[in-house]
Amino acid sequence: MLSLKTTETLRLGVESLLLHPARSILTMLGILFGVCAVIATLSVVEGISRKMQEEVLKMGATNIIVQAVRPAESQSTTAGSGSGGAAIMYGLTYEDAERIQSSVAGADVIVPARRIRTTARYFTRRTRVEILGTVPWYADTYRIEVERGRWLTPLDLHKTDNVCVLGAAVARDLMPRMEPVGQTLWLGEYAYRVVGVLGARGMSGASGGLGGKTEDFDRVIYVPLTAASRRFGEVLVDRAAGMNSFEVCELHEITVKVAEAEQVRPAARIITHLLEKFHDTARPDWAVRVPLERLEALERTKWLFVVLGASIAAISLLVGGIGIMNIMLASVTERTREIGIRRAMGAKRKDIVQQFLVETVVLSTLGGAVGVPVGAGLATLIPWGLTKAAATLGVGGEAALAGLAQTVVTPGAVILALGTSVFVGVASGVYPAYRASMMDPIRALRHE
Amino acid sequence: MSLAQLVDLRKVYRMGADVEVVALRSINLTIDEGQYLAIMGPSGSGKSTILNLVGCLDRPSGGRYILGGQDVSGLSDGELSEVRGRRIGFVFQSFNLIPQLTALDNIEVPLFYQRMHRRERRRRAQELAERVGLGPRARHKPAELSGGEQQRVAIARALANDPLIILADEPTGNLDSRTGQEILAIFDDLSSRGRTLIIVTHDESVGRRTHSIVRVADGVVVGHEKN
Ligand SMILES: Nc1ncnc2c1ncn2[C@@H]1O[C@H](COP(=O)(O)OP(=O)(O)OP(=O)(O)O)[C@@H](O)[C@H]1O
Ligand SMILES: [Mg+2]
Repeated sequence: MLSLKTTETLRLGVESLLLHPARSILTMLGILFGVCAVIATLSVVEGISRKMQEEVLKMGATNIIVQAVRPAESQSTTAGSGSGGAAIMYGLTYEDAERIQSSVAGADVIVPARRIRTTARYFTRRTRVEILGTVPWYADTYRIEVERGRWLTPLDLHKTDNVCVLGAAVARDLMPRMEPVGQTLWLGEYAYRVVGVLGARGMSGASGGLGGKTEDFDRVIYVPLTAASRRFGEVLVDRAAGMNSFEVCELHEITVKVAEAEQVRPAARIITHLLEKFHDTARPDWAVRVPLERLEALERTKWLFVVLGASIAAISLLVGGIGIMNIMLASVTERTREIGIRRAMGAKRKDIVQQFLVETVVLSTLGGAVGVPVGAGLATLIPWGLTKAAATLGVGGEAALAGLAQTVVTPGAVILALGTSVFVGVASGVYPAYRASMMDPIRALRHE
Repeated sequence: MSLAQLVDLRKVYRMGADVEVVALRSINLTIDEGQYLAIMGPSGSGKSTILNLVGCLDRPSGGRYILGGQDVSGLSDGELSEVRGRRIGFVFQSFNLIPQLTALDNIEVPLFYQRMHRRERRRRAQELAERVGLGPRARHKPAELSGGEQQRVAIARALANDPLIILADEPTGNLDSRTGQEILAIFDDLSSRGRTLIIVTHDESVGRRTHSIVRVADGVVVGHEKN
């Protein structure tokens, strides 16, 4: 019969709250705003965190990326092969790649890559691109998805074929409204046949996903590493930089993929050690980047924000709870006589406690239940408003705002918010309800 | 057969550290089943205090109180609530209805705490409203009812749990004499059907309608008259 009694007590509480609708709604608002804050904060934080996670994961959680870093200009070594300009020799070598391959146990794939910035031309259309000379297994390591045509094959690599796969933006710019696969475009003075086009991938490091420069995956043209080395040579001339500058760099990037996340750190340590040994430590021309570490740092940052949001929410819920308690204490005094009557009619102390507790719990739970969707709505409005504001003020950082664009309301956040509001209802109701139950029935009956 | 026995019952109110008000010095009283009793006496003599003790709203400072064969003087607050709910019906001078509830809902209050099912409660409340002659006024709230009607609701409520005793503290005190007579007629009728009733009153004419009058002065019983 407990459930019968519970529903009856609930009905009693709701009827009592409906007697003063305006008062009840105003009391509810405190909790509503509190829960709103919880949901909004958590879903914005979750949204940003997922976005950043996605970006890091594009770099591969089990990857270790070794990049060539161009040293500062003043320490450049002059090589007499240029015509007037200074040539810089730096970066990673095939030897480095071999050393890593033989020293790192459990290294799944080692992908050497070259990056060359140049202009791609298709008839009269031109666009700035980055040529990435790489190996076929780059696709698995970076989860490349081919939309049309095919990816690079071992045969392409072996034959040093002039074939290429286009990033989505390159294909769009050079060959709009047509089928790029099978066309031939010009990279510098060499003709390359398009064999495939990738789906849109977006930016890396847009909202600080990976330290260093941002990379637009969609503006890359992928060619076989062998072709890139032979056609473009080791000496690169960057005419776009204004004056002629030469750089000599065998490999721009080596990606090491290990099987398990636990292997990432030890492998990264070995690689760092190797490079320190064979490169000039006074003039480091390489950097080791570990997406996994970035991911872990992200997780820590996320918790920082969650704690911050939770504190704000806790304060507003506290204020809401005090509001409920205040109203309830007033209500108990106002209804002293009713309490006396009920006691005379056989109500036990716990019946009185329940009666008042139900009222506060119903109020706060209702506040919470309304607060969740309102908070979720607010969460989607925040990034929208920020983007608008940034556009109006002409402030940049759209990339950072892009992270805000997706807000995610997790079941955990909803449970947390609702749980907290029920808790606040109980906590704020206990004292008034206890006071009500401890009244002397005779005195309560005489109360004016 | 005796329904309730008050043996050397004392009640002392403690006010502050060492100020004591002796409300009842020694009350000895036996209430038989079906008895219609009036308690009379000057103001402050302890009439209401006796009624509160009989109604288990309060606990005696000394002596024993046996109700329906059970010594209830040492019961806990919860047990006393139980006794009140099952065995006592109260009628007050100021009606004491819950203002936000309709007459029917007010009649249902004691049934609610006996965990009676909603539909059964409603049926019983309607039956009782009929019995006290409330008629179509039963769906109104106390503020929309006359004093007499409110007291009828209170009597119906007192009857709800079919109690052993009905206790009425100056039930006509707030009513004009004609309405008072109507209320007393209901009490007379209840008594004639075998109900046990105790009425506290200042009015000799009210006292004379009952079976017997207990006179109280200064916290002791000073006389017991049969009518
Ligand atoms: N809660 C209390 N605290 C202190 N003293 C009390 C309390 N209740 C009653 N008394 C005292 O006990 C005595 C008896 O009071 P009681 O209310 O029983 O009198 P009564 O006979 O009902 O009077 P009346 O006819 O005016 O209603 C009085 O002196 C009163 O002041
Ligand atoms: Mg009195």
